[in-house]
Amino acid sequence: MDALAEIRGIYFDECDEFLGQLESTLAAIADGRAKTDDIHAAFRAVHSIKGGAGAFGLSQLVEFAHLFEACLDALRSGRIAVEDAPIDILLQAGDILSEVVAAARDGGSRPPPPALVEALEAMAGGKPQPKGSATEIDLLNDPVDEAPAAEETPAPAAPVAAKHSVELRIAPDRDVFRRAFNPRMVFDTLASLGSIEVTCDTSKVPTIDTLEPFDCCLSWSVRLETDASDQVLAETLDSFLADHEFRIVRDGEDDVPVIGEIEAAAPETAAAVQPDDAGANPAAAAEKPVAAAAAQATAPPLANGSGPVRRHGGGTIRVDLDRIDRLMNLVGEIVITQSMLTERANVLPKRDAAAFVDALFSLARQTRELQDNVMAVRAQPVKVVFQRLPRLVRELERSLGKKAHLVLAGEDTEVDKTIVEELADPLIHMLRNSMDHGLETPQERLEAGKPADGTIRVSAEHRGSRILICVSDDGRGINRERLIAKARSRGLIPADAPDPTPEEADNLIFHPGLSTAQTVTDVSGRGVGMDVVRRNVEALGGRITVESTPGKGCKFTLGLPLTLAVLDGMIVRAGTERFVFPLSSIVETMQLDSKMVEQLPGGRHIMQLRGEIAPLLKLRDLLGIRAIGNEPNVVIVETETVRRLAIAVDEIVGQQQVVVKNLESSFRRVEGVSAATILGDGLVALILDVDALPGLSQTQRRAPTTSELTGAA
Amino acid sequence: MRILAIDDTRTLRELLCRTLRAASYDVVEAENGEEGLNRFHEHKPDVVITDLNMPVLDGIEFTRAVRQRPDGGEVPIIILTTESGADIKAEGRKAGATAWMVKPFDPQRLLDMLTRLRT
Amino acid sequence: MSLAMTSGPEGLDVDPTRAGKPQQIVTFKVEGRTFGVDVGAVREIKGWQPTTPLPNAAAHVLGVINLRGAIIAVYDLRQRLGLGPSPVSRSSVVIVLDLGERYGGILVDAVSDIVDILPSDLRPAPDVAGDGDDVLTALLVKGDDVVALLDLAAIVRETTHDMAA
Repeated sequence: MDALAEIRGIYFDECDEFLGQLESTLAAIADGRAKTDDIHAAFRAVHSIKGGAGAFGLSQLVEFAHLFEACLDALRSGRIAVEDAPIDILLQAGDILSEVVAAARDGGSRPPPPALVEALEAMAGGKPQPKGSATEIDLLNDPVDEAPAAEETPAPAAPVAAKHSVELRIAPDRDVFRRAFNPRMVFDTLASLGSIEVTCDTSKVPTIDTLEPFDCCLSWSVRLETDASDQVLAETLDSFLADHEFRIVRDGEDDVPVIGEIEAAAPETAAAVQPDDAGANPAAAAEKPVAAAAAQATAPPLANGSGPVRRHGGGTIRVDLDRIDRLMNLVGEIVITQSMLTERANVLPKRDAAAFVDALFSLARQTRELQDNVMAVRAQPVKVVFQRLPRLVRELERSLGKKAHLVLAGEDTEVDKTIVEELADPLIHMLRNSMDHGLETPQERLEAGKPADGTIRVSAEHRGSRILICVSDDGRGINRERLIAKARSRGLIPADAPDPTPEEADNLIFHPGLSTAQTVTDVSGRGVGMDVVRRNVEALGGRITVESTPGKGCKFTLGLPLTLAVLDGMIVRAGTERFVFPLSSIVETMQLDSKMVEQLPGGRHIMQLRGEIAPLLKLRDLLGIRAIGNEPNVVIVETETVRRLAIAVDEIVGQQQVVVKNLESSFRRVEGVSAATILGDGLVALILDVDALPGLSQTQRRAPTTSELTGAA
Repeated sequence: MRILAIDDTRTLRELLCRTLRAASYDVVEAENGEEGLNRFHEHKPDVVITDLNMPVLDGIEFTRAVRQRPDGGEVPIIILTTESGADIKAEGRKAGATAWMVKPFDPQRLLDMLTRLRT
Repeated sequence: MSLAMTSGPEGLDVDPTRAGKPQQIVTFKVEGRTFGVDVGAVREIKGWQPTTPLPNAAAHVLGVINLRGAIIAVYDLRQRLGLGPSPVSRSSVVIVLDLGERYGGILVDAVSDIVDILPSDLRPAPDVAGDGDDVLTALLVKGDDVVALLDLAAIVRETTHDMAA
């Protein structure tokens, strides 16, 4: 059963791919740029989802996929012209299909909306078969019942369970041997249902001078003692024979001979029948009656194997994600062991230390390489997320009354799975922002001398150990004057302060509560836009920046680490505990100089930092650590709300890459802590959530400054 | 005995191949009819099991192509598909398909059929 | 945090229909009292190791430890029972338990025994509101000894009144 669960896992993974394909092909259909191939691909995606669902008995999914497939088949076969396709219904069906898949994955149920089912049924039933398709669907849910031959077989009045005798007439087409047919397959199959006696009718075999050796001129009559119903018999024969090639005659019925359809078979067909094959050789088969027992006795031993050679289908294998995670954990542990060894190296006598340290360097390099390789296994192309965007743009076009070309680049850029998962939300938000606020209406664009359709470009590329995602548009750019006016009216910029620089003004877009849209739309909402994006991105150790040229357009650049599984950290000590600051949030570290510190009347401390004021907090106070020490060091960090925050610690231990261990899954979310890691001595250290630190100090209330408001410079 | 298993859906291919391998068959996989033809040529399977709806080259076209090969006349080809219409089956037979089995397949029935195909 | 303890592997129901099925209980001492958990919930028993404290957690949450690469939280059972913080001694042990969705450790004074019991031996815990009494699911009389069976979900629960300052 484990193997089945594994395949089930593969199935649902594959479903995601099919749903992705479906979405992009439906998008193409909606855009009117669909080629025949796209329609076929959409059909196959749904068909494959259905096929797998059948294998796992997911009847709701089978049913819905079947209906959807029937609609796509109508397009594929041209029964419904692509231009006339109810695209909204198809898109909705695509959405519902993914929901039904998701429900099936979770073992739940997601009945499709009846209205949609009706609409799909109407479309599927469309032209030639006005009503029949609905019953077909029911049939397919129970594949045992679906053999059409069963309907045409003269069914007995009552189902028979007891042993009875039945006569089967088998008269295959003349060219039956050209499909590698061997009558013995049929006899053996029947023999598995009861005892049989086979009589061969050779009367139609011509004389030797006119005999065409590859034609089948034989017919057989099989008497079968069985408890199988006629339906089972029909199904059995149906695997090998066409409906007209066999007939079930019950005792007492008229013994009407079956006349095989004699087709003028193309004689030049090069199909060969092995002459020594008893069943296929007319002469040998002519011995009558042929007992099934004898046939079985001469059967060659089965599956005697053609050597132990196992061939693989291709150059890739699918691996369960759990296994890779386990591998990643192991690499993490090796990293820990390695830093343990490094610590021990310090206590070795100098003579031994040199060689040991050399070996450690090699180990460090190899571990790093191992880690990179495991990371590479976990890597996924950003395409997974990008392929959702065309659909989004189309929806936005409709709801906003704008037109946009979406240009995607670098879709094959790979990042760790953890980042791919986190990428979707910010990306969708950025794209919405560009569509909603960036692009002008077609009318405005024409007036501004631009093409009516806007262009949005989304690209991905590697830059060092980060991935850069750019979303740029050729719209109106950020309305700086408006942003500044708004910030002033809300007191975010003091009345007497000079106007911020253009860059600072543009960055106001990331400030909570500021939105440039004249009207609040349901797309970008009321001011919940880029500030949320920035917060989420920074929570991932990323950065987001904006460049805007008024009238020309706007470009958001999103930089994210390639993985969330490891992190470059700065280890510090407060009291007896060690903590990890993500290196990405650290501006600098320094020794605390009392001359730089001032106490404010409320008791709070601030630090002068090259003209900037940074609130000064003690890490031990923030985290409630009981310890003595004089905290001679400060770590200056940049947080979401406070541009410069000084955190006093006892010691700066050093810089190190750490393996990120989720704390929520082992305990719960802890305020001020984003995760945990295991250090070289095997002890756990907490990774700090820098953005949450200002909030942890309840007494500390920050004084806003202009530079703070403008966010990241 | 070597079996060539062709299905573009990885899940079903996997299910099929595991069933066959569990029964000690030597299995060669292919993702579509075209790849199937190449594998057929390379590995000379004793039996072919193929899906019907596939990109590049579908099951019927594949079957037709195999039957036109000098060494392809006597290799049983089982079409394993969700399709069960009489027309498509007739088309399959005409192309040279030996047997037809409807998905989702009952592993035992498939294995039984295989044992009979080569007796 | 919602852990369905009664249906978990450590669930000790007093259902009479299951009276015939023997269960095994790991018993251990805290402050001279004997407690027990179903053996099925016990993953391993390990010696004390320093914990990394978690900011703003309840007093009975000692912190987290590294269990062969996994991070698990360790709870002080004595503190949870309202008996003050545990003094850590050489015999102090951490019982690593399967809490359903995750593992967690409880710090106890010493592990005593593994005993076979019948569910029919179990008596419901008296319904008196005492400090720490909410962690008991049932009592078991074994000779002179009374073994209190623990509700694992309740041990790890951080109620608002015992949150550390």
